Order: sequence, then C-alpha cells, then structure tokens
Amino acid sequence: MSLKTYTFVLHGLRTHLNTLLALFASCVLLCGFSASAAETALADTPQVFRQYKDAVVQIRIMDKRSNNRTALGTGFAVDDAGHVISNFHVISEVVWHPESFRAEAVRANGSVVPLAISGFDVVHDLSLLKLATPLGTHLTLDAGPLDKGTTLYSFGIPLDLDFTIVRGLYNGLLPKSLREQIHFTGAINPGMSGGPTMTEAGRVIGINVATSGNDVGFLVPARYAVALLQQRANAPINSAAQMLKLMDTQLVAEQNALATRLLAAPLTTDTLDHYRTPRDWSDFFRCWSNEEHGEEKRYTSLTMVCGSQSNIFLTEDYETGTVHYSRSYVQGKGLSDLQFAHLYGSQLGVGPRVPDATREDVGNFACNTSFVRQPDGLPLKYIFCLRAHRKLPGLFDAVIMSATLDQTQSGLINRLVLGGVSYDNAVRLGRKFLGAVTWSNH
Amino acid sequence: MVEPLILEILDRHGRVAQRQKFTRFPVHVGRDYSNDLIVDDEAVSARHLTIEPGPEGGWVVEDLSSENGSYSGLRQRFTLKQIHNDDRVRIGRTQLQFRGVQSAIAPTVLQDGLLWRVSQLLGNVWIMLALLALNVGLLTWGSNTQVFTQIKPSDTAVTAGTLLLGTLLWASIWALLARLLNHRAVLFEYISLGSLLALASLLLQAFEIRLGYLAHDSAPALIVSSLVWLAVMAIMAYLHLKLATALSRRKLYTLIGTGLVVMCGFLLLSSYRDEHTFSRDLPFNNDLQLLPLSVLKVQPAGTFFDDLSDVRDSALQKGKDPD
Repeated sequence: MSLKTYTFVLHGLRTHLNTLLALFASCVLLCGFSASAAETALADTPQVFRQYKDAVVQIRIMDKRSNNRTALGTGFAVDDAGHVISNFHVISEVVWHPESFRAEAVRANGSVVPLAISGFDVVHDLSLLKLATPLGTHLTLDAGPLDKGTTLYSFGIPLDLDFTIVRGLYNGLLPKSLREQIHFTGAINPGMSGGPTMTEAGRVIGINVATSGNDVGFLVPARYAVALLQQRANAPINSAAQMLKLMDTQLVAEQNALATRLLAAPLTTDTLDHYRTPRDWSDFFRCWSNEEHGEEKRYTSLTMVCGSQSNIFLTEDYETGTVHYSRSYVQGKGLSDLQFAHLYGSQLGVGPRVPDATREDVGNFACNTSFVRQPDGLPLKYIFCLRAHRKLPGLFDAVIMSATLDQTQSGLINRLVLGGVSYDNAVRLGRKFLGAVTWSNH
Repeated sequence: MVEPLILEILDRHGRVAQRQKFTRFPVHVGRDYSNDLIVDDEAVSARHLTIEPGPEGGWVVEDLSSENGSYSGLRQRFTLKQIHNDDRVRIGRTQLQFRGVQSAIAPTVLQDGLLWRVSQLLGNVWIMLALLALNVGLLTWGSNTQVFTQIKPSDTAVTAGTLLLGTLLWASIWALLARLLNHRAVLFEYISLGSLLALASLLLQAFEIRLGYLAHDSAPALIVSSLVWLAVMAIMAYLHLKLATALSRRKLYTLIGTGLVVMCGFLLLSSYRDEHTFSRDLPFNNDLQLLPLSVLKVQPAGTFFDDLSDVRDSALQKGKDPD
C-alpha cells in the first residue's frame, strides 16, 4: 500500500546550513496513512453526511499490469457531466506514466467507475477527472468569502477506512504564503486528499490537500477548482506527451509570475560588521537564524536561511517551485590565514540544499565561477550553477552564490536557490540578489 | 704460454667477494691452508678440487673425492669437467666464476651522465637530510593549515613522525630491492627521492589550486595538473627503477609508458563515469585561498550576468536523455 508521506517546504525552525528542510512543521499529503484521531459526530453532522456522501468517491490509482492499487485519494463530482475534482498528487502516477497506471473511482455503494484525466493545475495541486458514468449528483464550488470560525465539514476516505465526515473550523487564508491555501482546523488525514470541505449548506470552499498534524489542515481554495473546470479541454488527455506539455506550460507561467513578483519586491539589507547583505525580500519568505561555534570556539558561523515554504509536487521525489536563500558569516578567532582560508572554502563547498529530483528528472549541474568587484569595490567570488529539467523544456534549477574576499579572518557567503525557473529569470534574480552584497560604509 | 686464470668467489647475491689471478698450475682449491685458493665455507672439503689447463684451451677441473661434491650448472655433479671462459662451478655454498683475460667487461660509466649526476646529488648526505627535513616540515605544516582547532605539539609530532617513518620505510624497501637486483648501496638516494615525491605531491596540489584560481574553473586546472602529475610520476618512476634495477633504458621506457597509458585510461574511465553518474553536487571550485586579487582577472560584478549562456548550454547538454 502506498504511503505517501511528503514533507512540505516549511523549513527549519532551527535551521541547518546544508539541510534547509529541518524541523519546522512537516506536512503530510493526504493520500498515505498515518495515525488518525476519531472525531465525535455532533447533532447536525449526520444530516450533512447523508445528504452529500453520494457526490464523494474514493479515487484509486491502479497498476495496469498487476491490476493492484498503488495510491488512494478522494474526489467529488462538480457537475452532472461526470467531472470530478481531486488533487494532482493523487493522480500524478497516471500523469507521468499513463502507459502503466489508470485511475478509477469507487462510489459509496461500492461500485467502480473508470476515470479519465480532463485537466490539472499542477501549481495548486488540483486535477479534473471525468467519470465514465456520472454519479447523478454533484456538489457546488463556492469561492465566496467566509468568516473565521465558520463550521466546515470535510469528506474523504482516511487510511482506506470508510467514507468519513470530519467537522472543523474555517481559519482563513494563510497569510504570507507564496501559493494561496486555506487554514482548516480539523483532522484531515492521509487518504482524504482531494476530498471536499464544505459549509453546512453543502457549498465546497476548499479541497483537502495537506496536514501538519494536530488538527492543522490545509485546503486549496475552491476558486482554483472553478478556474480549472472552466478551462477544461473538451477531450480527455491520454498521452504522456500531452500531459507533459500542459504541465510545462503551467510551470513556465508560474515561475514567470514568481520572478515578476520577486523582481518588483524591494530586497532589504542589513549590516553584518562591514558588509550589507540581503535580508527580507517578500512577505512569503520565512527566515531563521542560527549561530554555530566551531570546535574550541576558534570560529563562528552566523547563518540565516529564508524559505518560501511552498513546493510544487511533481512526484514523490521530484519537486519544483522552490525558492530559498541563505547566508553564512564566518569569522575566525586566532586561526592562521591559511587555516581560515581552508575553513571558509569548505563552508562554501557545502552548498545549499537543492530541490528534490531524481536522475530521470534532471541532469547534473553545470557551473561558472568568476572573481568580480561590486561597484563599491568589494571583491567577491561569484558562482552560477544550473541543471536542466529533462522533461520540462525551458526550466532549470539554479544555485547562485557569492563569497566575499576582502578579509583574511572573516567572510560572508550568500546563496540563492531557485527551483524550476527559466534561464532568463535565474539571471535576473541572481543579478538582483548578489547585487545587494556590498560594503556597509559605502 | 699458458693462459692465466682469474678465479672469482661470488657471495650469495652474486657479487664478487674475492678475486685471484693464477699463472701456475695445477691450482688447488679447498678449505685448508695448503691450497692456492682458500675458500672460507664449511661445506667445502679441506682439499676439494684441482684445476689444470685444458688440452684445447680452457681448463679441466677435477674433484678430489670431496664430501659434498662439485657442481656445474644447478645440480650437475662431476668429477672431471672441461670448463670455459665465464663458466661457473659450485662447491659447497660457494660459486666459483672462471674468467680468462679475454672475458668481456661492462662499458665504463660516464661520470658526466645525467643519471650519474642526479644519483651523486641525491646520494649526498646533506642534500638527503635537507630534502627529508623539507618534506617532513612542509607536509606537517600543510596538514596543520587544514585543522580549525588549536594545534597541539603532540599532534604535530604524530604527523611529523608518521611522515618520517613513512619516507624511511619507502626508501628502505627500494634500497633493499636495489641491493638485491643491482648490488648497489643507495639508501640515501631513495630517502632523497621519497622526499622529492612527497614534496612534488604537495607542490602539485598548490599548483592545481593556483591554476584553478587563474582559470576560474576547476576543470581545465584539473586537466593541466593531471598532465603535470603524470609527467612527474613518469620521471619519479624512471629514477626509482633505474637505481633499483639493471633494466635497459628501452625496457624502462616501455614499462613506464605502459604504466602511464594504464593510468590515463583509468582517469578517462573515471571521468566518463562521473559524467554519466547522477549527482546533486555543484561542480565548482570552492577554494578561497586569499591570494592578492591584483594577480587575478577581476571583472565588474554587473558583467558577470551578461552572458552565462555557456552554463545554460552545458546544463542542457547534461540534461539530455540519460539513455
């Protein structure tokens, strides 16, 4: 049985230099299994369950050769033509390998209906599927505003147990997030991915997508599902080539929007001894600092890591859409100049965490380095590395770094990591980011 | 006129231990003091054999009923045997080499040859000591620069001691080989050579770093320093083998050439493997030794981003389908 525990990009509360992904709330996408908490049904809940359960289906991804299931999730009907909304990550196997996998829906009464893919929104983790025979009932998507504290009901099949209803509360859109999500206070669990979360009146305001445990759940706002339904293709998408083309188009547009946003946003700096260095860029970055002392305190390393805390799921071990930047200010105390040079070089060599991907997804990195001087005269080493996404033309993962070279007992390293950007955007963002490293007294 | 006989007593390594010329025959050979050639070997009889001039040149050897016998070749025991120039006879544990005045000798070694001069230089005790001190000192200091904690005298002593013992062990092994194969005493030469080898590796490392700095890229620096490294290896291998063995120059060239070809093949194979192995590593030169920047090419920061299309093209090349 497929266990899809998947950590979202909510990076370390206590950050570590080479493992950005550390201890911060790790979210679990909901189509695997983990411990669940039983929810006591309240008086009005049986009525909601009875009324809407028939519009909800379990989605099973089947391996064509063994005819066995490989992933489970939830979906719900949104019209009488048989269209079903679920998550992209529930059906991602079918998208990448339509020759090996197929999707099917299991109704509350146990009957099985084949599913075809009509479209998806990979950026917001949504998919639009079509049932071979409509369910005869459907739910209504509602993008309208709600008050914080409104009672919501979430549907799904957690842990492959049974059709389940979960009562919880609406807690608004996540502030300071790169990609919009609703904060739902309720126990959504693996297997409920793609299920609807609705008001008592049956109006779906979000689609279950992730949890970080302890009743902290996340929903995709319904307006993205509305948009996906409106933009759907007439014919189902069958071939891997069509799927990849659609995915590439969406990801290219997304990184263009992100780059535009970052290029327009002011990059503030702060002072570290005699350097000015990037600090805040956009409100969706969260930053953590840490100070490491070397053995016998012969050096200190002051680090700061800022992450966008949002990835785009492509497969279980392939992510994109990541942006994070970090800095390390290394100071030697009583080391010889050569000892410091070795230390500083080894700190630079550690490199930042790069987005998850396998050999099938991306090529190896290629780099260029140069010694440069900022307009104010600060000498630096610049490093620019790219790797290409094999199946998504025009997209690269970029690592852009600098190290100051004017001191013999201290140095400042800055790093910017961009997952899935175009070459032009990598260059533009790199120029802006590294341009902010200067001397403080100029 | 009877041809004079030169008898050589060889030691266990085949080296001449004693050499004597005879013009009067018969020549008596044995352990007691009445013999013409007294052999100091417990396995030789008191009166072991006599040598007479042969009727058609050469000599005739007669065994005098010795306890352990006389042998020609490996195991051929004889009582009477015709012996020619450059033949050997074994009695007990002793080899007797028969030489006439016409026996060939090796050509004179020219004292102004390169190898001779290098050998003289490396064998000089002061030069040997200087190189050994330089080797131990520099390598100990070099390893200290890669430690970021307080360096204790005991750590330095351990590093220096290891280097010293290592160099001496290396030299001893080669010197022993040279002694066995070439009958030469060249321990000092090998201590010098071993020190040079260690120093060369240190210098090459520094050379590679400097080159990487100048080229802004580790790849060309790696290629150039690999070539230099191979050349140094070839020279070192030549000197080591030439001192230790009696191989002809031609054989040495063939041997070293083969070794280099094998090494190059290995380097090519491993670079091919690296190119086709998936890695998340960033292949850049992270060395930050703070050289004076004036010796390096420094460009304005703004222009760095003007054209990075070579990185893009290289990334695209590496991103082509793995199969």
